[in-house]
Amino acid sequence: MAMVVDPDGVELETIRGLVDLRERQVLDVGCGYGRLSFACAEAGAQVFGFDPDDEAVEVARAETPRNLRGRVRFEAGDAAEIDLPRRKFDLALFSWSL
Amino acid sequence: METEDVVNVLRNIQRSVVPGGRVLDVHPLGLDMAVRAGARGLGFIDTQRFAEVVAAMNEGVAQVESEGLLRHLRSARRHVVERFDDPAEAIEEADSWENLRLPAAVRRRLAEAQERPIEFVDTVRYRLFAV
Repeated sequence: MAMVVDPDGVELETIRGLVDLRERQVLDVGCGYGRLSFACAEAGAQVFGFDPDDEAVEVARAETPRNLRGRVRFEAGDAAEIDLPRRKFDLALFSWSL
Repeated sequence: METEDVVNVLRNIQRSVVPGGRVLDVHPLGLDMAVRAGARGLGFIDTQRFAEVVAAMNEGVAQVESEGLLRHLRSARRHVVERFDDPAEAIEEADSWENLRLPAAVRRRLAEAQERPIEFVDTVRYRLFAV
């Protein structure tokens, strides 16, 4: 399926206008297929993304670009229950899907 | 989604962020969510049920703010596009929605559309909070 979300890059431009991502520790809550995780990592962040959808997480792992493999990590988990490290992240990106 | 679920999620996230760190809430508002084929508007998606989800989100965020866990800093709104190569792909995506509905007339116009690309356009709100 050739669906492209935000082909014009509006979201990343907006996020970068609101927060500095360089060398930040970023938590991507509800990362889905990793679209915003990859964008944040490209902008210089270290990213931990999780999503309740195991299949989406597998796709995110498989499609992680080679140059970002040291910067992004994905796990399956529910946002209300996942055991997150305390006081670790500089930014939590809390994105909701439809 | 219930307000209580949103509150539990936000509390869990807030605990994982360093003091002085940020939480960025990014979510679609389901306002006048348009369907386009090329430059032609085909109609709007029914977002009535999704409005209930947005209301639960807003109540949850307000509760966590009132607990002093998050402090609102800035907000922005942008139009964000989902783009498809053809109508069949767009209809397949629409069929996977839980809280949105493609009205029958819009679905018919979409299925018959010759213009490309096919796009769904929504308004997304970005709310930045300090921890």
